Amino acid sequence: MTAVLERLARALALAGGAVLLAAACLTVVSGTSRWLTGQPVRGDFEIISIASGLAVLGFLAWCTQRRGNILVDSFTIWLPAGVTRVLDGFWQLVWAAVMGVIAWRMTLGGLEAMANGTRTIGLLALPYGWAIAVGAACFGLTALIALTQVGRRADDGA
Amino acid sequence: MAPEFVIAAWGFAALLGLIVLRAPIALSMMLVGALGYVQILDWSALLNYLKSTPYHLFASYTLSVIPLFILMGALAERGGLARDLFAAANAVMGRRPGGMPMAVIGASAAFGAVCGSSVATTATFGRAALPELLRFGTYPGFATGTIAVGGTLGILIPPSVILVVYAITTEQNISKLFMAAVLPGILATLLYILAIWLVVRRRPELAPPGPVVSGADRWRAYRNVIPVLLIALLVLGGIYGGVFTPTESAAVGCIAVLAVGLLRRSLSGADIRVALLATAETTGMIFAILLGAEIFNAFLALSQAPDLLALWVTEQNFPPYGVLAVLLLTYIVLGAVMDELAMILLTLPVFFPVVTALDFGMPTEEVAIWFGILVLVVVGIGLTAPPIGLNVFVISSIAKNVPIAQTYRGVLPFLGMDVIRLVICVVFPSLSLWLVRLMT
Repeated sequence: MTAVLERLARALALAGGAVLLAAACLTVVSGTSRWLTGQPVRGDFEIISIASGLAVLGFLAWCTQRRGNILVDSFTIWLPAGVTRVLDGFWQLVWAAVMGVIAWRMTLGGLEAMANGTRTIGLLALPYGWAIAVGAACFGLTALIALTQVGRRADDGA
Repeated sequence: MAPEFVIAAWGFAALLGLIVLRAPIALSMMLVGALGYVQILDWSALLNYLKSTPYHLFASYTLSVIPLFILMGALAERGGLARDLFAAANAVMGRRPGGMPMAVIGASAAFGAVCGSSVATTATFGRAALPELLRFGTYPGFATGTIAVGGTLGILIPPSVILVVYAITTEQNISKLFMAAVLPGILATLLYILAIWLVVRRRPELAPPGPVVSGADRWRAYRNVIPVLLIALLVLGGIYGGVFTPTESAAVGCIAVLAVGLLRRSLSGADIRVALLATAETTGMIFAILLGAEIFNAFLALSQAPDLLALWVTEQNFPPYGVLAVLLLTYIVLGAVMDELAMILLTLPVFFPVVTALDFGMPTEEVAIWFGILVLVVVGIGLTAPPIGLNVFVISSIAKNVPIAQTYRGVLPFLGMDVIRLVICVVFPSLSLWLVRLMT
């Protein structure tokens, strides 16, 4: 189960990276076109916002798996390793809970946006409720990954 | 004390308590911010707030510049650009005593123009230059110290993730902040080279001369850096000339670095994968903190404490430069024990209204930009100063056989230069503002 989740997190991070690269390409094409013809790609701002948002959301689970969250250990350096491990495990649990709550709220937010047909403000007026729902799934996976990290030492995941 | 201050003070105390107990900084900000939010409003308001805020924070055109700049740096890191820069800088100055550390600083500065992260710059030169330095007999602590300090040029020379975060938090213009950072960044480079010259003049054995590069090799080294320099020129020139938005320049930079790497076959598919995963890790970390700061700042704004504090400070008629000195000293102390990104996200909502309310004899926008550069300078100091210098940790994780205390000793002469530069930037605001004024 853990292995499946971890593979999923890595795949999601790579997919996010690919989306980010695609957004970069679109930006370059749009900029070049604006420079040459005075016309940028229609709605480039909206597409790039959604694409980079999705990319970053896709990065979250991988970051949690890599123990990328910054913490300050200067005050607890004198504690026995066992105690810091318990503390770290506890905070992983809380992190999982917070990510889970955000996933739950964003699911509702996404469903509402889809029901209301909320769209981006701009030329394309793209519906984006689905993107919030995808984001909710990303937070959900991050919560699960955080649970798999409870009790593991920081360097185990690397 | 007014009730607004009481709740904000409790918030900050709780936050520090959690951080001391090893809670991740992003998590601490989320928890305290959420509870404060509930305390001032109620649970249903918080639950509503969470429905769409995270999405809108992440899917913002302005913020898209951060993952793009990080990706550009990660691709540059993998694509061998740093090695080329170091080889060229070495061909210029490597032959003289202290020349190789100077070449590291020069190459780091040039790399800083395509990379917006100090950690990435440090890691890159830790791999690209450290083995060479050690091979030619540079004292290990001096070599690692130089690379850690050179790494700060990754953010001191625009583009700079820290400046982007500053610009977004304080609603300032990213392009203007980048331009304001150019001259102080060049000053930093020159002062670091001067520091090496001073150290080596007294103790030449610390950094013996490097290899003599012959004619043909020298030209090859120069030719190899042309693409990097062109990319740097494109990225910065595009912003400066107003041709690109910052997001566009980051995207152009990304694609250009990718294209150069693919054409020269220095970037393989596996390298790109590694660059993407590294980008994911760093970006995820930054956005987790940004989300935490968003929630914590929503609470602070609700408490109204920052505005009242700014009002109070102006009513006291404190000397503006005295207040500024206190704020900068606070940053230096905080930066010594805390993560720099979290530090500015936590403090700016309080410090920024205070600074912009003071009268420095400049328009508010110029004060805002100038203060951004000062914050950048103190952040740079925090990245290398003991006991918690992120760059020093990064280089230590690469050079495992160099004791960390030795690296900190190697950093010391540069810290002296940092303090000098901070004073220069405080006393001469026009060093930061001159290019900005030319631009507008």
